[in-house]
Amino acid sequence: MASNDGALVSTILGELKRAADEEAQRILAEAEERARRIVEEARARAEAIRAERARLREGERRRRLALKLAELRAKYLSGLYGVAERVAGEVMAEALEMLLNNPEFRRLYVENALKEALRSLSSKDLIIEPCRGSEEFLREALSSILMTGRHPGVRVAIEGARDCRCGFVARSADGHEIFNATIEAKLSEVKEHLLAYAWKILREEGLWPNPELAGLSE
Amino acid sequence: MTVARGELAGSDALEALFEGLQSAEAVVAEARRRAEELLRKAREEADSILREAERAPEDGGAGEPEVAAGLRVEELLGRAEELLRRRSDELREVAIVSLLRW
Repeated sequence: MASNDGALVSTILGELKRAADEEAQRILAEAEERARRIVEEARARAEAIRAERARLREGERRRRLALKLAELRAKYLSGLYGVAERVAGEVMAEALEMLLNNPEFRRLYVENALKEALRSLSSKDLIIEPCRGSEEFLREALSSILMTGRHPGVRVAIEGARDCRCGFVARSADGHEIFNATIEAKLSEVKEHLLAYAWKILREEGLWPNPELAGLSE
Repeated sequence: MTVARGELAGSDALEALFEGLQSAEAVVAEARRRAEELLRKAREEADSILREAERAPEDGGAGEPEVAAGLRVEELLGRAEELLRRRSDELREVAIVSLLRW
């Protein structure tokens, strides 16, 4: 090989090597860039997937909590009604015993009931059936009230005792009007008052109607 | 850049050029192989990243707030009963007054 040819070949070989190296670098640089983009895109998609899943989970959590909260509120109110009913029942039983064991209370009960009966009933001819044990109180109260002259013309016949614990049942002689003043009939009204008072106490203490059910945020 | 070796036989210069060409081809081929490898690894990593995201844990704390609120209901009911019993004297008075009032 002549020296000129040798130099030319060397130049060509050098050029070939340089071109090949450049091409190799370009290929690798391009591949690195594509690889970087592939991973970046995957990361972005992963982030979007996570965000969407988190959004769905949060929606589901809120729905579940709202349902649970409603369920717990219903359970609480039902339980609260049970508590109020139970305590009111016990208190009423105690109050009833106090009244029945105290002659002065029983006398007062019959007297007040009789005043109300005479005020409420329009008939002038009345028949009263006292509960067993209330006959004496009834006669005393009747005589005392009629003596006041506030019920002129009213005639009252007292009949045999009824099977009840205190009070009486008054009715017009023609049977059109009736006034049930037995303590058994009065108790349902008393229970209403007691429950209303119990709810008032519970409201004052923030236990009704919307207590804070901590731990369940909507 | 492929050259049939027979065409250049007998010439040192051409032999050298042929080898140079082959070497250059090998360099580029190696670069392409490495590039493919890079892309394969990138795709594998991308798949792994996406699989990981799809496998994201479900709501880990599920149930805890509900349990706390359930306990709170029991606690409040206990407080309500205690409160009403503590004020039972007032309630009894209300009952007596209601019994005697017409």
